[in-house]
Amino acid sequence: MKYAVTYEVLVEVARYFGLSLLVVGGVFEIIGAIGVLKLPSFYLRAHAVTMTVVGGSITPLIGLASISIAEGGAEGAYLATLCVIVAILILITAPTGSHALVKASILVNSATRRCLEKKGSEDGDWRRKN
Amino acid sequence: MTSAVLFVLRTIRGPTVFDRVIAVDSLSYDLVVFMAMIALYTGRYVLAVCMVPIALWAYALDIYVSWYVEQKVKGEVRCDL
Repeated sequence: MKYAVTYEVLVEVARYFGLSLLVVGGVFEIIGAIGVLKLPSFYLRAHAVTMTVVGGSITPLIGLASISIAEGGAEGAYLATLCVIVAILILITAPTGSHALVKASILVNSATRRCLEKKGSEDGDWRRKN
Repeated sequence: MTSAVLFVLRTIRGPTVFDRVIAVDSLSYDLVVFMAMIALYTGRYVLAVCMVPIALWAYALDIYVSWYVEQKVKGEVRCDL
């Protein structure tokens, strides 16, 4: 049986694909936000934030690009191009920024640990014994 | 919207400056998506231009804070942290 794939069918497919990506992005966003609020240490929170950014911001942007292509016209093409550009930009910059923050946090933690060892506090004594 | 409220809570509660910065990052990226949705569903496509500076602003915040803290730690190791 031969199906006739017309332009209208493609537009509807693009629209529902974009809507499903929006829903997936919302689910990622809420899960990541709960993780950011509940996880115990900064490094785990950084992991949750990166997951939130990649799953919860880039996926809806691709979905919005698909929907705006389905809307048609020059404005739709403009918004779709802008969404894709911003998605690529976020995909490059967000992990880089998280990495820089985690590196700075490791530096601060190691400096604090050195100070504790120098002072001879309980943490330093425990580290020297083990 | 729920996730934005949770990020604001983490921004207020965050024990260190890194937690606050990373929560503000997430808020900015949420704002980017919100602006794209508002531009699409209201038909005002000019609003979408502001997405690019907001994404770059979040990256600049990350880089500046981490650079400042690294320089401070490297230059002067304070034991009363």
